Amino acid sequence: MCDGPLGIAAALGFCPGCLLRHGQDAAETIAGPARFDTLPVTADEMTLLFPELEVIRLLGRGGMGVVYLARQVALDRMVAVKVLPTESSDDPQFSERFRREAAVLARLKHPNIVTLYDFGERGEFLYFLMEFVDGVDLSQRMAAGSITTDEALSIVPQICDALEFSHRQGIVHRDIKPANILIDRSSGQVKIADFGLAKFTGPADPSSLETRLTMTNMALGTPRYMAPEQMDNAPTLDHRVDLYALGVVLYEMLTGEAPAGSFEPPSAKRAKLDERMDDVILKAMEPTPERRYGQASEIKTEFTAAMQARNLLTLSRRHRAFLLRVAPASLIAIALSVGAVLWINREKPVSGNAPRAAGAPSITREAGTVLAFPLFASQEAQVPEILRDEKVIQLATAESFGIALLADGTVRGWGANDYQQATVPDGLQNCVAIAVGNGAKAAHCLALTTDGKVIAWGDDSYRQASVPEDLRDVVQIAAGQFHSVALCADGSVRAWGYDVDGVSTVPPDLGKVKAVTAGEYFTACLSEDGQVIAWGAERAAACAPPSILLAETCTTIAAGASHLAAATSAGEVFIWGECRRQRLPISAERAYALFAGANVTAFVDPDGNLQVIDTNGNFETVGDQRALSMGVSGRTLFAVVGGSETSRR
Amino acid sequence: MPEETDESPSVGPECSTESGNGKFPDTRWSLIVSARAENSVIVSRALQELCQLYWMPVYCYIRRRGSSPEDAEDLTQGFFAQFLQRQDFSTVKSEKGKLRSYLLKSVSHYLADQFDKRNALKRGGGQVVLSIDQASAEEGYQSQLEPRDDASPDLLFEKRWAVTLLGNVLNDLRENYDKQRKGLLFETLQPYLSGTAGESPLAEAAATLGMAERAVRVALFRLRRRYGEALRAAILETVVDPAEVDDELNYLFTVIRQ
Repeated sequence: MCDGPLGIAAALGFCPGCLLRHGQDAAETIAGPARFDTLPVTADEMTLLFPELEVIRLLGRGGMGVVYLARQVALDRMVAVKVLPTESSDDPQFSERFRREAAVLARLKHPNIVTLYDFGERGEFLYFLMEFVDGVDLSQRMAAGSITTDEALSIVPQICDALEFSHRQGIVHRDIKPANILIDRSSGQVKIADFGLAKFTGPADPSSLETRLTMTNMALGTPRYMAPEQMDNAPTLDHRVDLYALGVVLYEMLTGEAPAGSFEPPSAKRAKLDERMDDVILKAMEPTPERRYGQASEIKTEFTAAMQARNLLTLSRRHRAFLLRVAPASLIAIALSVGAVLWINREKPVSGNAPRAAGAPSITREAGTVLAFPLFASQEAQVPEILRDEKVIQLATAESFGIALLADGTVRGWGANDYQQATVPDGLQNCVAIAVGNGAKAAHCLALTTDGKVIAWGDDSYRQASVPEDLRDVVQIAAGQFHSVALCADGSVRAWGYDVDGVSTVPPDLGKVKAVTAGEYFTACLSEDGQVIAWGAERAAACAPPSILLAETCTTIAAGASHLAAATSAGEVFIWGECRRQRLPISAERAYALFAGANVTAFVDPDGNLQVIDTNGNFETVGDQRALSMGVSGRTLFAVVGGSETSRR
Repeated sequence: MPEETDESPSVGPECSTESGNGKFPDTRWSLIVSARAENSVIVSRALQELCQLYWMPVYCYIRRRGSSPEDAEDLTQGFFAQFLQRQDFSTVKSEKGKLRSYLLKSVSHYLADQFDKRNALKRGGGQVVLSIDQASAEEGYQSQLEPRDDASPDLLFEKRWAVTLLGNVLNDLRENYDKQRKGLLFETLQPYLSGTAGESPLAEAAATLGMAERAVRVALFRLRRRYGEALRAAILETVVDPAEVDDELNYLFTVIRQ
């Protein structure tokens, strides 16, 4: 049935994966490989049902039916045949209405609309014979990578033309979504499929014949693209439901995500997008139909204008957009992994009782004040109350909690405390570094003391907070979602806690390393000769450094939840892993400090600007002060800045 | 065996018939968190119903956090007593919270509170707000969802959540088929729906039911679609925004695969 473990299915009497998939099929979003017995009609039966066709292969299936590719023998043309089981074929009223309404659709002829050749009923099935488009649909296209400006300028006007034409004929599509927008492989021509069929097949309008087909009275299906009035089953729906859906599709095309909840304006999510585009898309998606555009042609005009007006260096409402120049130079300082940002400074050896084993880096302990920056157009950011007016050396933050290392070597915690992770152990002092678990579900903390010992607290479900008793001479610490990592003065690495996929099993041939970091389900380190080595869950794409890095010498690494960043001695910052910009080198003009958390990478450029890039490739300059330490919680970046006072212990 | 024709069993939890004026019905959870909930009786009932459907994940979570079966039952009752008394769900609304994550967060806070108070077990003990069958609760907890028994409490909660949801929907669907006197059809096709039929060919089911194989395939197709729709309807009951159904479904997939 599926690839799930059989033991589970036996114990429960059902396979969770299989059952969940029916929910996805019901949304008609999946046209994946079909199993023989999941089809209402097999290819053989198609031949019996449709003797006039030569059935070639299955094109796809959804919750509502199946689509086959066939050759219409008499006319020698390729067609797509959509077949839907109906439960009302013996109802004469249904049949009559179906024939009348489908006949209207068959008269809809436009270069950007998939032509309906024929339709009818055969046995307990409705069928639609349609023009075959050899290509991909827009959702497949978007899954393959982001849509370029030129592509958007080619695709969108064609969609608008099709809608404008059909709306003038009084025909509303009712189910505009990426899966219904086809792009011809050879010509690039856009064709909209299933025009008006939602009336018979889709969930959009329960007052229509649809209820007869599904007998469910809820607006199920693909609600993401439904206008509010469509969701509410308003008695009169007009063409503006298509314009709303088009707005959602445009948002998704440009940002890579469908808008949900209180979503951000598109220009905040896609670099180089003119803010006028926000107005176009938001107007199309106005909840009240009266405030939307009146016609698709208006969207075409304004979309094209806004797209062409894009400005490479535009000023956004809240933040200066930022473009990195490609100019390799050397890194000035190196820094470290999330949660364990130790400042290693070779110019200023520090006295005091920091770990001083042979080869161990000395540690400076500059302190500053904490500032909070809203990231990527979020509204506000606040410094935790307990950190106001405090001199802080280092911050370590997770989604809902954080800890801070103060100038006096003590640690403070704030935020969620369900695993006592924000409750710092009594008497903890003389700390030189801290770390918190990296990942949405992480809830444990580590602190490194001046005598090279590690103290851990918080979630201990996987013994991630149970520090090995023989661990000593630690110089760096890092924490993954459920595991912990320490770098010892002799260059060896120790890891403990969660060990599925070997995330806590240090490779035996690792050799000496000079830095460690940890993501949700992986561990990474930097070898003495500057190579990045990572291990853990193979699904963590961050585990495989880009091959181009083999030729580079890296000086710094930092892990986010599921991505890794490394800076090379030539001054380039590489970011890879679970991000849309997989393995794309991002060149920086000398980065001071590299930091990663959640889905964000941050670094300080030579001018002292704090630069941030998220895994979607959005850039932002969030501050102009040199940061000593950083942390990300939700959409807030915390940074320790100032550093004029140096606390040395 | 009657051919399956019209009069399909209606599926999905029966909900919010109060707004039966043809308008899109509020889901239970959206009703609870919305400010429109003028009628607190309806809200309390909706909340009680949801809690009765989803106490198992909470129980398993508390057990995995280290409580004995007896304490876990007391804590589960104590938690739901507090949860049900609570009238203010305004924070959920602003966060677009799902019932699943909200419940997990709440129970985790509740345990932290209890941890602080130490003696609160006695206070929580004895309250009975839900019908919890101790034997089935333990059975649910002990039955292994995975070869590893080291799942974190959070992961265990979420897996149990998914499995509870799927099981509830399956039972609802079975009842609906029974009402339509199609119990045999359901029981025969259920293994094909649930992925437990293995390699046994559909022809066997056709023979059992005395139906043509194609008719069985159509019936199975419909059963699957109904299950899918009922599942989506059940998920809709636990989210605020209908647009979140797909995300929740995908999320549960990732949970089950872990």
